[in-house]
Amino acid sequence: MCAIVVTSEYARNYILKEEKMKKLALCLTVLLVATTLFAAGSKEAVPEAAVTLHWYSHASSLGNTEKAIIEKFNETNPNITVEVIELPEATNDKLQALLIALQSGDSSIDFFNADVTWTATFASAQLIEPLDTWFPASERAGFLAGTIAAATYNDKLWGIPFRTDAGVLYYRKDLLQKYGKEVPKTYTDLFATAQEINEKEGGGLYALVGSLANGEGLTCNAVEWFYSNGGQVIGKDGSILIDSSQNRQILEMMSEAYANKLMPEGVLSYGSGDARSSMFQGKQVFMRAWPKAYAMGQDPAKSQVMGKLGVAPLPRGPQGTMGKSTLGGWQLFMNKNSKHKDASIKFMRFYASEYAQKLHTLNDSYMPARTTLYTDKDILEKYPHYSDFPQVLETAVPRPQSPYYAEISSILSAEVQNAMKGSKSAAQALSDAQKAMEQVGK
Amino acid sequence: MIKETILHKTLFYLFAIFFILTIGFPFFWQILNSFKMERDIFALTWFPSQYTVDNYVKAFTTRPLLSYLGNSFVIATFATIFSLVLGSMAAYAIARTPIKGKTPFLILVMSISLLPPIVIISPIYSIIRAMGLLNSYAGLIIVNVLFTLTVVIWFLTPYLHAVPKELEEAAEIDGASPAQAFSRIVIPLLGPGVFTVGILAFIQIWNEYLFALVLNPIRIKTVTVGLKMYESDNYMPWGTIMAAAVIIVVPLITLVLILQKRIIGGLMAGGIKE
Amino acid sequence: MKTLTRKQFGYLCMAPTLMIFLIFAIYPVFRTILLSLYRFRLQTGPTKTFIGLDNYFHMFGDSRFFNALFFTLLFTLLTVVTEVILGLIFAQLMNLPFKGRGALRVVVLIPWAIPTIVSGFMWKFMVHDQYGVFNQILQTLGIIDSFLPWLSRDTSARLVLIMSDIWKTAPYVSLLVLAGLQTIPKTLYEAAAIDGAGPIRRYFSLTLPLLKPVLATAVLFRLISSFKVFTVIVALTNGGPGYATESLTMYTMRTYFDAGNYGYGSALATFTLFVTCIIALLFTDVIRGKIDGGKRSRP
Repeated sequence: MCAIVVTSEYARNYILKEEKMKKLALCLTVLLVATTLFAAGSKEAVPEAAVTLHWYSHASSLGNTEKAIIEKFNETNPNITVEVIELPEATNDKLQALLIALQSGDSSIDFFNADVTWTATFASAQLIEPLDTWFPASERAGFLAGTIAAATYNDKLWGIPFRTDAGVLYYRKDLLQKYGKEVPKTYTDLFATAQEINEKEGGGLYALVGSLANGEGLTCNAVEWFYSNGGQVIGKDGSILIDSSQNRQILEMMSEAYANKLMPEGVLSYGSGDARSSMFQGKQVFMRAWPKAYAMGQDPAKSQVMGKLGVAPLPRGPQGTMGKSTLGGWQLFMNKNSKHKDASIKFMRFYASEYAQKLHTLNDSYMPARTTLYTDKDILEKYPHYSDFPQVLETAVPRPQSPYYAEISSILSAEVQNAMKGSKSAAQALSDAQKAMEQVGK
Repeated sequence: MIKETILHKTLFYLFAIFFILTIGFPFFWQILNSFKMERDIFALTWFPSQYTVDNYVKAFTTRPLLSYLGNSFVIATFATIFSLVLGSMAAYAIARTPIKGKTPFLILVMSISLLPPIVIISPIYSIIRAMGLLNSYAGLIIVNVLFTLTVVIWFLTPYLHAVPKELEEAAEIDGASPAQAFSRIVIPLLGPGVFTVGILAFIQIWNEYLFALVLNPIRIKTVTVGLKMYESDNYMPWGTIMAAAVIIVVPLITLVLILQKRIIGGLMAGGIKE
Repeated sequence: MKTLTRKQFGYLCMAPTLMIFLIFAIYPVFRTILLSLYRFRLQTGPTKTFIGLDNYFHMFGDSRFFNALFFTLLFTLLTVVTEVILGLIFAQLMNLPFKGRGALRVVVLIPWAIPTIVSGFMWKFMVHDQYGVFNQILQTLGIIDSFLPWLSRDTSARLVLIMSDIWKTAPYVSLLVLAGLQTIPKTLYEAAAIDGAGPIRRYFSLTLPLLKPVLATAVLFRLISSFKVFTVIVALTNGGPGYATESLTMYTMRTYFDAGNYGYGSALATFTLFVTCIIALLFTDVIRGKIDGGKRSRP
């Protein structure tokens, strides 16, 4: 900056004679040298005999648990440094950034956090390392079946699961108690209960909220609506089943709820953070969110409803047999071109170990991928509602494993939004989604 | 006549106020909110009782803003210098030397300046990847040079036409080669013009987004890509984002204010070339 | 050392620039057009299958493509027309000989100088449905009852995008027009006034025709610039709600980098090139003028 001002002074007032030219050249050279040093200096110096691993991960969790886990890891592996580099926030942005980087043969990424829906995409593009030998069947037994299934593609194992997720219903237990209401088991009951409470409280409360902005968040919510009403999206044989009467019914119900202002008007551009914000500011009776919102809801800096949150399985639709959650979760993939595969797998396994998963669960109310942790004393003491989770997880709906998943998801998300905001009828939106999905990959 | 002037005067000052309000308000709001605490931002209190610099601290600590700024600066500086050097050479060749193919070349320059980046983004990504320059300084520098070259050539060619031929001819009579005439006579006279277009180029590169997003998504992020990284947990920390935005924008505005005569001159010259 | 002739020196000076143009512009354009004739996507590996014009047939049956095209054309038209009109008005007023107009010209520069992503975020914050100051002001003035979710509805989301672009660019256009205004000699106005022409007549018969070259240049560049809109959408709506604000460039980017469909993406990109060429062809006068201006010095 100063250099620019200085040179501007020269240029402004003097014709550039040779003398001044030399000074200008000198200024520029100094500037160039400085910026070159900056550019060169941003590469790290790696000490010999030590390994630095680059882990492309989420932003730090609420409890800064990643740091604690790395420190514990270093107790037994002092010569392996793990550097965390943050990926962009939105899941789609993460995917885009990783695909771009890995396709270039970049070897500076060693391993990275991957959403459960990415396995087919990365595996079919041959960007990640199969982990069957490093993560043998004997070890996989300790993990939830759904998580291992999500990490498998074409009969090979590609990822190590460290976290699972399932959409759950949050409710204001203080309000339900006050009016003697049960936790609703159907969406019809949910809306009725919420409306009654809202009237009696004098208004200002919305019934339901979720991350309904265009994107993967909406796909998760919509999949839950459909399956909770007995519908499907893609059948086991790969056929597209999204255009069905059950799906139409539940989508119409949700669109009407939005039109009748039972959801916040801005909900169609809400990410999970905005949805949580509405709940934490006390404007909701119910919210659909991932389990980690519970820990956030107890943070007085962000939440006005501490101690007032209850968690329950999602309700079902009129034609459904039970409420279904979308199965989410995260796993670690290893870059095929990593130069430190042995060191990487050491940390990857540690991060999926009982110690690490338990720490994340306690600090950040994550859902662990290991079965034993759901009967762990400490976890149940802090989060009694975790006893519900095994059943939720068993019946949770995984999203379709497809190399074209990103396209399918974006079609689903956009058409559901079209129905919600009333640009299309639910029937039209689902019919268009059906047609578009059948075209994908052709 | 008097009536006309009063009408004009009122119009002018009304307009001036309106103008300054509409342009200035977003900035005022941005700066004001960068000093507010989160609860005041949510409650929309315009002038809370307590202010804080916490957002500015967070802007630097929650994301590596300093390195984003550094990256943008390095890329913009080098790309500007390269395009100035190459561009002035090309402009000289057009304005002063009897080469053939000037019209096709100028058509080419014009076409590139009008070319939507989306048309070439995928092949450029492949080329830069093949060169091993993804997530580097060099990759983005080269791509930005492509576009700012056109700006430099457009600006400097007529500028050079205005430089009197006599000076060079005198040098050549004295025995200087064309190269020597170029470096000793023309370059010094180019000074102010080069400086002006250099500023325009620098600002253009600093603000670039599309190529920065595609070519440097993981490392060596520029400031434009970096600003999007502040979203955390699907939640926008508006106070911090506003603070980061202020930090990004203040140097630009300072630059513009200091060099405004040149910039306005440069932009206006660009608009009326016949 | 053998000294070069002027001609040789000229070619030498051109060479590096030409090389950059060739490798990074000319070759990529042809490659994009070529790739649009192939089926080539991430999921099917590095093999490319020649499919002729199939991508284009698919495009003309793609409702999402037409949606993107419609929105892009709407955006382009509305922004350019508004910016030109506002630019004319602003320039006229800035041309008045009053104190402070110098400062005004500097203020005008500032929106142009900041990155689009920053101005996009500024606007996103101001129209927020829970803590946006616009909502607050409108509510206080009694224009609306409750805060509007601007970015959750099709029409209002598009409106915000357009307004944000106008805010950023109309000042710049007014500068260009001002430059044009200042080249019109005052004597012409005086002569017209003597001939009995009133201010309105003078404007339409004298000023506007003389501004035509400046306006034509501005319109050409703004048309092409608006057609490729992308960054401001990323900041404000990310194409939503639904696909309401997904521009052609955004759809192409998503096809390339989210879906990994390089063949179809190249077809979309080629279409964008095609439209840009048409726009440029409409303005050949302007282009020819600029090129001639590059070949000779100003009169």
